Amino acid sequence: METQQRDLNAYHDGELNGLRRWMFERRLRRSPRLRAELQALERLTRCIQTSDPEPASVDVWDAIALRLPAIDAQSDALRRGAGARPTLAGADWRVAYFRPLAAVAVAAALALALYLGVMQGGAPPVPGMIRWLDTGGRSVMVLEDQGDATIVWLLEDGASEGGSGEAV
Amino acid sequence: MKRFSVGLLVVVSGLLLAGSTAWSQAERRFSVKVTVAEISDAEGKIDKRAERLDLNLRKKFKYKSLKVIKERVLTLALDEVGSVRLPTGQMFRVRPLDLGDRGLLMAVGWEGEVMMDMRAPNNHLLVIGGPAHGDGQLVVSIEPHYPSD
Repeated sequence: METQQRDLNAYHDGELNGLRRWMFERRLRRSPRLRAELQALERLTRCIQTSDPEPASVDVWDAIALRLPAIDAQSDALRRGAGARPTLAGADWRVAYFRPLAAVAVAAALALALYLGVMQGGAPPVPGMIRWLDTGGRSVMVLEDQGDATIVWLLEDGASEGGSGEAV
Repeated sequence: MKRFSVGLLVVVSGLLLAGSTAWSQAERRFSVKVTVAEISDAEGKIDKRAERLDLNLRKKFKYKSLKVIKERVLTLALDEVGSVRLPTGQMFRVRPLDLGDRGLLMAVGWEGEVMMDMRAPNNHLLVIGGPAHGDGQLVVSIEPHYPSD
């Protein structure tokens, strides 16, 4: 009985071949009950295919939408991180060649920033407060104020920060 | 046998501690104050309710008036989304994601304007502004508050 049900499902899904298919079709011709089951299965499949999925409620979608771009960005970063290492072939040699230089430049800049921060008596800004930001291509200005406040200012496209709320 | 018992006790205690920490994080609620304001070049007052916002904004921007339009305190658990409708009709949403040593990681979204993940220490002020509104510009500030351990 269990085998018959499995064969019915396999036949319905087009997975029965050769001799097994021929044997099942022979059984199908002889058994009205099996034909009825197959028809019921076909009706059920049609019903599932034609029914629209129930749209997610606004709240659920909001919760998902708030995370999707961040998840995409993280996946991209991971993919890039797991990607092939640069070779010295083609244009990649420049990346490999300049990477140590870039690292030295970044280290020097950080040392200078720390030196200036100490000399001026100001605490260095808290790094990495904003982990990820998406403005849909719009220009944005991020101002971190010694760990007490962070200002994210969205700029009008094609305009400088003039008018009201003019930057000091 | 005694050594085994002590080891087992250590493992069980560790598991209980880890479990209680995870449980307390999940049960923990965070208070996020959302202030919606408008800054403008038009002559006017600086709203007293937004004193801290003004103090920080004034260092970077020039304006003559600051008007608080709406103030809300959202009490949220981790992964819970809190929403505030802005005067523009857009929704502003905050969702606490994780509490760590460096503060509360939050997903913040201003519908149609900006989405971000930000880790903010307790009482840190996050200001998002820029979109035009009325004679000036709309500003939304958020401040997470939670009792420290």
